[in-house]
Amino acid sequence: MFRIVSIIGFVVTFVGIAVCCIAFPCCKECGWRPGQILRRLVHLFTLLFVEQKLSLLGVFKKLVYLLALLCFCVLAVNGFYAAVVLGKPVSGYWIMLQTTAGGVFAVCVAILAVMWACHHRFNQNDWPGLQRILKRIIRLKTANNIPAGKSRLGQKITFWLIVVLALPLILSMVSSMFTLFGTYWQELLLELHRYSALLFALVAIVHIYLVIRARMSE
Amino acid sequence: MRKGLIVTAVCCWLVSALPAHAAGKLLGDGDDGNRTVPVHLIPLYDGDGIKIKAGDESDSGGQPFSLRQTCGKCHTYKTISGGWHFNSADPNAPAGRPGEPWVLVDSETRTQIPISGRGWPGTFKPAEVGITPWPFLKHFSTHLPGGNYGEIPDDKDMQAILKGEVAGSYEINCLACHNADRSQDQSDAALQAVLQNYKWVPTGSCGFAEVKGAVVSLPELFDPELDEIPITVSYDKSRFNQADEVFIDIVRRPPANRCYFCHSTQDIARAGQLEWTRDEDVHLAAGLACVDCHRHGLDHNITRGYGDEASDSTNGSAATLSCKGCHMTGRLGAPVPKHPGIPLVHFEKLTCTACHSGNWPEKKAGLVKTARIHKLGLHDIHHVDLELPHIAAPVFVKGRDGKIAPHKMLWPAFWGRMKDKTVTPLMPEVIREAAVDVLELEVESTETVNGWRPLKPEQIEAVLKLLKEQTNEGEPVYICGGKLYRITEEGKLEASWHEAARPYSWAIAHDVRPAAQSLGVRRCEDCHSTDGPFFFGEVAVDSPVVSERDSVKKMVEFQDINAVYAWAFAFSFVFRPWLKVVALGSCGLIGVVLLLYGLKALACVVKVLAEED
Repeated sequence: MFRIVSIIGFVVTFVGIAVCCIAFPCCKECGWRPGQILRRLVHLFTLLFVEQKLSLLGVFKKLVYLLALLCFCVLAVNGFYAAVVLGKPVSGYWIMLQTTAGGVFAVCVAILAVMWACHHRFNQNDWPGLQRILKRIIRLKTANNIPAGKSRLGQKITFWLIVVLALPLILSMVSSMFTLFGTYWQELLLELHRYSALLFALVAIVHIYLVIRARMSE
Repeated sequence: MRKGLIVTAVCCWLVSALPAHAAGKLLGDGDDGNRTVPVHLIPLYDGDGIKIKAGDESDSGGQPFSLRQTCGKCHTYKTISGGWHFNSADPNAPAGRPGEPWVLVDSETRTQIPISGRGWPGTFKPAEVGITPWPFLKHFSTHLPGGNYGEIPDDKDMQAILKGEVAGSYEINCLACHNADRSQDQSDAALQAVLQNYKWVPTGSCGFAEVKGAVVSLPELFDPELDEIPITVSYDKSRFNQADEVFIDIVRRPPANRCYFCHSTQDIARAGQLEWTRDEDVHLAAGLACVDCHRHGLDHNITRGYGDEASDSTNGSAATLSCKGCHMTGRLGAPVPKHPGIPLVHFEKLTCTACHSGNWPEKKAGLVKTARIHKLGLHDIHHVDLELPHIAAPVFVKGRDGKIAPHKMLWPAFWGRMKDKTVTPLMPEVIREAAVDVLELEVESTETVNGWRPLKPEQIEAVLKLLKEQTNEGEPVYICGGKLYRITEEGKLEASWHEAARPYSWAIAHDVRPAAQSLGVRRCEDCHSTDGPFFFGEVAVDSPVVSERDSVKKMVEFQDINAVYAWAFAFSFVFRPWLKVVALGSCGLIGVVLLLYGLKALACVVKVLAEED
């Protein structure tokens, strides 16, 4: 069941992203000639670099972000390859890798949540439609002064979803290590871990796509 | 017309009744549903079906009773004789999971060969090593419940030809299990077997008869037609009523005491004076009997109780009379386990017994003796104190079901001949004859290596050369301590690993320890530590060869697990508490962020709803 749901989830997500890429290119110069694709790939690669203009804290943030990205890739590939392709749970050396990367990832997500939460607060700019509705039903004075600039609503939603999903993802695994839950609950926790991991991975992929898209269009 | 119909109906009824009649169902074959055990006040019959009478004893003594005749009056003997305890010689009987073999031991020729008619991998069928039914009984009948090899005529063994007629058939000794009378003495049954008084076994052990004389001491040219058989039976006449019937306390549910005679295991570390310190199996301590789980019907196809038995057995209850069968459903009041904190993977990779059965594993696997292999329980003149074979337990081995389970393990040792990579053992008598001088069989020696008479590589080389001189049929080899010794083309002795030298192991289920004493109850490190006995416990390689004196193997080598991985995984448990702290700390931090911004969002909503700026 989980295998099928995972396959469907990943196919839908990647197809959605591909459709979005084609239907709504992030910039006018973004064509599909080989030269343009190569340029985009190089640009994509440069996004991984730590910019010189960053402050020390900025560098730290970027490094944590990159580390989290690395761990995410390791965890997702390792975990879903076993579950989706092999059809069995992670085992052997891979489980040791999974556990190690999982611990690091948990820390990274927590740090990122602290450091990036402020940037991902929802503001009036994110909800023009909602504001218009509110204006009709209440006396919202600021509704006329919507600040200019691009909304990053998708990024913000996925960011908060990541932060929220991280909780069941981590807790379902760590709580099973304590002598609190019997076999029935262990099974339930494993299922919870699997499905929250799937949702987390899909949301994280969308989030990464949106971040890349935003950076490419800058 | 009407008459015709009636005749037809009567004919149909008669035809439909025929199969039941043809099946020959006897009085005791069925069960009318009344759970009372029928009182067995019954006449006894001798082998010819003649009723034994208390006053019949002539000067030469009475006849032994035959259980085939006595019990067979009401219970179909043929059906019973197909049961698990009596069918190992039947090539069509399902072999099931490898179990305890018979072991042919000869310390002088440094031989210990696992024998089983069931063809379990690693054992040899009696016929493969040249053991016909008569010598089989000679070696193993002390702990045999009769039937099986005991009832197969042996026309190859000279002793069997000469004495078989007098000794009689070793019929199934129903009383060995079903006689609840405390005077039923299996040690006496074993004594009769040792004396080759096979047809006297049930009589000699029943508690109300005395047997004198021995077939084994009869001259080889004894003729039962001409000479009087000097074996007498005297019955306790007070046990016979006026109708010459005897009350035998037959039970359907034999007490554990009956099973123990053949199914006891002695922990060498607690042998002798410390025997009383051993705890009993938790099921028996709770009041169950062995047969509450190991059940069968008339066919005596008893459930062995292992997890995948249903795929081997025709016993319809095999699937449910297992650990899971009772403990997952609460059957017979079995506590349903919660297993808090045990990751699910343990249930895929381990049997229940891995954590719950046998002795708590030590740094080095202990040694045990078993009733059948070491002939425990013989209290009379036939008492023996066998040291060999050495059986290590518990050894955690991956079984045929892919799960790790505690096993008993023995290392085969024998001389043999190899043909197309298949090794056939040679009987100890052959080696004695060929190598009496080389092996110093007539020299008294107290020196031992691992409890064996020591064997030097030069001796192995010399014996192999002697065997080669005898015949060129098959390359002579010696197997022991997991190695195969052979003479190379250059004439040098070479030792290498060989499939035939692989240790033979069989899963153990008892004694079951209570949950509070199961592996992992203290912490994960009961098993997952870099020196934990579950993976890294040492198993002594049992070998008489002097150079192999201190050879050991780690248990992980029998588990199909990479030792480096097992070590690394165990080592990772050092960091497990850190992982828990880090993960919980991260969750705490994330929770605080969510709470903080959630409250902020709530404040925003409150403000909006208050129609403020």
